[in-house]
Amino acid sequence: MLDSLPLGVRVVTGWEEVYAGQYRRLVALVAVAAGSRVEAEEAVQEAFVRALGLTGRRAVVDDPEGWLYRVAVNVARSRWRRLLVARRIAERVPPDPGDRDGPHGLTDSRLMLLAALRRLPFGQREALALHYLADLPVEAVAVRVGVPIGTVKARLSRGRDALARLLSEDAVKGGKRHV
Amino acid sequence: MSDLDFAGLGEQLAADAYQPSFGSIRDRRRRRTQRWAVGAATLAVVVTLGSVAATGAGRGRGDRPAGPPGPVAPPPVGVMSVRASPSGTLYAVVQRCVADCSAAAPPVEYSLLRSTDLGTVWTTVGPLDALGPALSSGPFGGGPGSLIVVSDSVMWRFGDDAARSSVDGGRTWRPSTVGTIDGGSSLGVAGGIVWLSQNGQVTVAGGGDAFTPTAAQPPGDGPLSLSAISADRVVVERAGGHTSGSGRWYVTSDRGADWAPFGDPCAGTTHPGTSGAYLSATPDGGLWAVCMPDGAGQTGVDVATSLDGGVTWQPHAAGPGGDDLLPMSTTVAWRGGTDSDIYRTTDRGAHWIDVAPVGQFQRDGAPQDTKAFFVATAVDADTALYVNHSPGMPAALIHLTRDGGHTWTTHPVRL
Repeated sequence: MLDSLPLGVRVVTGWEEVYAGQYRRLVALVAVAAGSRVEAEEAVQEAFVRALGLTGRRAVVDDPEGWLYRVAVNVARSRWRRLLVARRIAERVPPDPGDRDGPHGLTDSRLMLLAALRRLPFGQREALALHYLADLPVEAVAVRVGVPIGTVKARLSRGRDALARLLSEDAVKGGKRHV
Repeated sequence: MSDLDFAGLGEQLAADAYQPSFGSIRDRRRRRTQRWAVGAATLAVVVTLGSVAATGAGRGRGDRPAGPPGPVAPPPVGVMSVRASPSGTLYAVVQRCVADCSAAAPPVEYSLLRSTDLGTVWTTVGPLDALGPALSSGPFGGGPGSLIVVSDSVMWRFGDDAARSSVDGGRTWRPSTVGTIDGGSSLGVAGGIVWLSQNGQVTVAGGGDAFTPTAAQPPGDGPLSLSAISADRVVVERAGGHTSGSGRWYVTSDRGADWAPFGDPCAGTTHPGTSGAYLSATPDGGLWAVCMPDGAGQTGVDVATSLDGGVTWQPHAAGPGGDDLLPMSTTVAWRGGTDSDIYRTTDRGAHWIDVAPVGQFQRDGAPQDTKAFFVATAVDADTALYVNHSPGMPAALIHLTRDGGHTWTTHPVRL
């Protein structure tokens, strides 16, 4: 599992240290929740930009990783931002021969897992990411996501079942697009 | 899950992530700050949940009806929350880009809008300030940051660690210190009173006053899930410290002066003792309980109804659909939620009919990845509407039913 900042750590000005230590971990979490590493990178960077803009009492952030995660997920989920990012990528950025969101570096099993995760509803993806990638207990996932513990448990249960089904289907007949 | 390489996937994604220098992050912050210094906008948090390409450019504030579209291309509008007051008036929180709208994170401003004709015409009540990254809302407009409409005069907005209240219909707002609003907090509104549980404590606010702890607190410790029944009656479920359903539920009928045990409303469902349950009251004295699974192997949402104040309950499996329930009477209720269509029952939850396919607007990855805000109004049990937008549409769409979801009329609206 990925290392985590202990809960309750307070950050006043040390965002650079948090950036150095937590950026990649946050990208991984948001990538699974949002379904795209490219969007996750954009979203996490945007979260840090906003963190640097906090002033006064809001500049003291309990659980900075949790704060950054929530902001990044909100950003990633924003359709508005997605459209703008997509437009910018389409208009200004030449095609990336490496396809940073593609199979580069991922084994077949991880590719299949990531593809299956993308086909789950957001809530289930997020719960699975926080519970299994970040190794957060169910109670902490509930706090992080802002839903009752029972809802988290239900999402984990449904997500596990769906993953098992999707991976089983993929193993037999290849992936199919979730609609 | 042990056979799935979550750890390896996470480590691989982290290793492959492109990480620009922290200096570039600082530069982006600096450029944005400079833009604000000379620009028109003051709010920086872009947390749009539904992006609506609608008008609003140059429109003054006040109670003027929305005018016809102008010749200038309008900036994007995001719908943040849509709520109905007990009188049936609709209120919406929207954000608008005010400058440099093609930027990745343009400055935005928030406004409160009002409609007294079920969404046909919207007027601007006044500006709103941002309340932090928690400014978001679920399909039914609940959750931290959303607009809480107690009446056409009294309203609340909640952010991460702050709240605003208004006693003049949203024209002016004053801050209220409420502490951190997080997943352990829950809100309830009934009889003009707002109840809030935080850090295992029940607090209450009348009108736009500050929240104060009730005279007594429910026994035990741990997070509280709160369900407001009336101005004086609240039922809470205390999580943690208990292993069975009995004794976890408590009720007060005197606004928190005394608390007594309350029977588990989910006892007769397939989720007895669940930690994921809440109650809703109807004007005609009915109680509805939503019982969600909280253990491995459990699936499906159950509902239970009570006609005697929670002494006895009639359970039903709710079937497909979400776990956000809006009961209108002892027999009629609407139900939806994340990724869910809107369902309706007219027989106390025994049968549910899919009346609106809004789930397609909410599923991630769907072609129309749109937020749909559903509002059941107090006009009558058959009247409800939802607001949605799809990319490329010139305005938000209002879908209105006056016959319980059998037929819907749709019209575009400029917010």
